[in-house]
Amino acid sequence: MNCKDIEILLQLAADNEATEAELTAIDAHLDACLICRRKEAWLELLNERFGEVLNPSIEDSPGLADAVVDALNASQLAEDPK
Amino acid sequence: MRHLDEAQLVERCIEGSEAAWREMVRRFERVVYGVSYRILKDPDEARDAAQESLIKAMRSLDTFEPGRKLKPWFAKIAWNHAIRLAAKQHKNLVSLGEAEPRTPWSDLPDPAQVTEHKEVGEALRQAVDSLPAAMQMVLEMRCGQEMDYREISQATGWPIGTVKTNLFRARKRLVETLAGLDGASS
Repeated sequence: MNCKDIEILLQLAADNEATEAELTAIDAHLDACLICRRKEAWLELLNERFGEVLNPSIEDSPGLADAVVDALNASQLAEDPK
Repeated sequence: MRHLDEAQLVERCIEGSEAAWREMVRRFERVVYGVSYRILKDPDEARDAAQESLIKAMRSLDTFEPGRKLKPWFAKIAWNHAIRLAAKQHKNLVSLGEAEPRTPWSDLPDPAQVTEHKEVGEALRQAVDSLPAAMQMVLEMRCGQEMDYREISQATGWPIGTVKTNLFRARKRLVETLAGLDGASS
């Protein structure tokens, strides 16, 4: 496999979507390729740091469940006014 | 309610259990808010959109197909709603094709040179925020919400190949940005 193929497999591996055969192919290639080892290191760095920047906090909106439940109760009342 | 599996929880919600509604919101508010935020890029707008999407989803639970997973279903409703709101506000979602990476991997420095840089977290945050909204959203689904390719495909309506391509391009763009810290680190 060439570096372009391995680049795709490295991304699959970073997403836990690579097969055993693909992981084996990656290992074999990385043993001999400095640039692809660097790619792997970059992807690992991103995955390590994503937790800090993704997943914006919903904790700043504590009333969300109440608002949803109120709206659902209101719509039930509207359907069944008894 | 926390012990209920998804099918049981859906059933209890449809029966009108308020406790089940609250548990459903607790389980899926993060993904709904996360997707809304990545499209709308404003915490208050995202909160309002998340609330509207959650209400819409809960009212539509009787159409949920048994055997499917709830997370991509909630994400899809949030995505569609946020996209509609963004379009109404004429927010620029920027086509994914404009985010083509430019630097060959062979020209990028060793990441060890930027790993210890004190600004790497902030640089990554800014880099994510500067990506096209749809690309941020796919990163959010995969890396923030831990959805797999199939789930992201279900949520966005994109083929799995498109999901992969967008993730790969987004990551490469982020690497290019962080690589720029190398020169500023000394």
